[in-house]
Amino acid sequence: MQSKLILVQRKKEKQRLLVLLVLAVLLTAGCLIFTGLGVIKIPPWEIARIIFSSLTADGTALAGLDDIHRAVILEIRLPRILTAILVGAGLATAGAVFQGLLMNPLADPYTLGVSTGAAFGAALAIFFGIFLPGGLGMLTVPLFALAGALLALGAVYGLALVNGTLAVTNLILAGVIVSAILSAAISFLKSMAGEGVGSIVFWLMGSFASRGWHHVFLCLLPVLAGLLICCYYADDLNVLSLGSNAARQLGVDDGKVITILLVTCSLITAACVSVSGIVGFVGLIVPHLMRMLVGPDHRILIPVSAVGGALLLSGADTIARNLLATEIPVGVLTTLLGGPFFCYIFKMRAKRQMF
Amino acid sequence: MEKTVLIKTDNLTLCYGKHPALQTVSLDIREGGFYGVLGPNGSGKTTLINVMCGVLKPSAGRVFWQGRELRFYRRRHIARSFAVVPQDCSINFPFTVLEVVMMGRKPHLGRLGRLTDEDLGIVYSCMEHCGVLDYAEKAVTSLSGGERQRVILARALAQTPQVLFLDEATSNLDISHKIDLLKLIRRLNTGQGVTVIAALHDLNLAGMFCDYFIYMEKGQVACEGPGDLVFNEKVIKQIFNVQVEIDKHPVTGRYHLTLLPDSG
Repeated sequence: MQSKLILVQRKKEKQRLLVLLVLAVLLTAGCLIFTGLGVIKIPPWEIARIIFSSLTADGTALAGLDDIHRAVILEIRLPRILTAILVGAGLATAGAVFQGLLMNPLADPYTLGVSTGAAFGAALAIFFGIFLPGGLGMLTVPLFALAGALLALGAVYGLALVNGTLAVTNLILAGVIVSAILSAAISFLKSMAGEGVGSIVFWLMGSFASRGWHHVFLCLLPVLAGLLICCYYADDLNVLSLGSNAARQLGVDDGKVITILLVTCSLITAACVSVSGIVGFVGLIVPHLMRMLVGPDHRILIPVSAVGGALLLSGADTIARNLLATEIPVGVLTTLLGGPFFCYIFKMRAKRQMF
Repeated sequence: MEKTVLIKTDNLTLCYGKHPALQTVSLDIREGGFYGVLGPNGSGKTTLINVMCGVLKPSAGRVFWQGRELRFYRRRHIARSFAVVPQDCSINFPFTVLEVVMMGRKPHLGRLGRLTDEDLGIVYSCMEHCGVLDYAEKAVTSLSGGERQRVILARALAQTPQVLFLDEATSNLDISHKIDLLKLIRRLNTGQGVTVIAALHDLNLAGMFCDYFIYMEKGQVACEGPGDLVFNEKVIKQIFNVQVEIDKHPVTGRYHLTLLPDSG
């Protein structure tokens, strides 16, 4: 009997790794296929060769390939897809962690007001037509968004910190308050912007249009490092998702781990929002979908969510730029397609559990 | 012969704002004892338990664990020796019962928290003890209160603690589950020498299972000692302001308490 339990547990561990592996393969394949879709269609094997040759700086692998194809892939599509992958991974990771930490399935990366801060920063830059000097010009709006996100984050923590401890309810409340104030400020900017209101609104909806390598590099480090930190603390997060007291009784230094994870995920979110604008839904729904697939154990939930979010958002972006003659904002698309899908799954599950 | 002192508290005081929840509490907890912490609502039972097990820091005073101050131990270290079963065990996420009990091994594991076969063996026997093996793969969110309480007890036992704290752990259970749970804990106490410190509401249950009693009143220890000295009509009248009659069962040697509501 006892050995049966051990076998069952080991089998479950293997199955979870398998899910992660399958998703990773899907993401790689998806990445090659998505990059090929567009006005110029390029087959996946050609894309693989182009990427391989530029990674190894091996010119011979390029023999017989179109130079235009190469430029389209390397300069336009690949950075855009990679930005979508990083943002999808980052938002889904942050969402999974926030839901666990705040013990609230409604939490998402935007609960603490980070996104509103970013939006305010971006709106300021667009409103005043600010353009940073030198090589930073291209990154003016993202950097303003990042600064706005960090300031909002600082304000929320400052408000929520009482006698040196962070209480979860205080954090949510502080996030709501700071968000509300900043939203009003954004509305004010929009109402004053006149003709310029369009570009503010468009930024707010979130998009990966004309994202380049500088966008990739801006969010690469926060997302990857953040993901590693979250995985490192995933086992502690499991215990924390049962409550602070339970965590302490099981030997977790709750104050330290909560602070590290909240700051990490807020930084991930800030970096993501600053390059993509506010893409809704991914951070809320992907963790839920993945929890249905692999269960609530964060050691597997976090990496699986990251890969799932990356897959979802890069796929959605591909549809967004190919479906209609004009591009659909990707945030709108993720919610329009993903929302009903989630409703369906949710309903089926609720039914199954009742009988 | 006197048993060794495991936990010693020295003038513990804890204030929530200005209101003192604990005041100058000094106690000795000896190895292998089954302690009942009794007292009316708001008398500081839960606070005392939480300070003794290191979850709350006292505003003043000290807690010693095996002769060394508790605050010098790392949390992980404490969790290898102390386990707590709280009153409210609601869990928001659909972890399976097995996953929840496995968390009890966490203080003994490395960073990635992978359980060895030996750890899983301990988990198995704890689940067997608490009668939760049958729903090992069920989501803990789908269980009834009594089942969930036994799962949490199994998790606490999986910590292989030397001291088990129960904070009103049985108050949400019906009478048969209450007795089952306490019998189980009693067996651990007599069989494996686990020291038990239980905050209890039900005086009858306390009389049936505990050997030593600590009465709390307004954050202070009003009275403490072995049952023969302090589990009597006079003390209970003084602390709870109810008239009772206490008999000692001739065979089991346990106390039995009858409420006399009209003679007050």
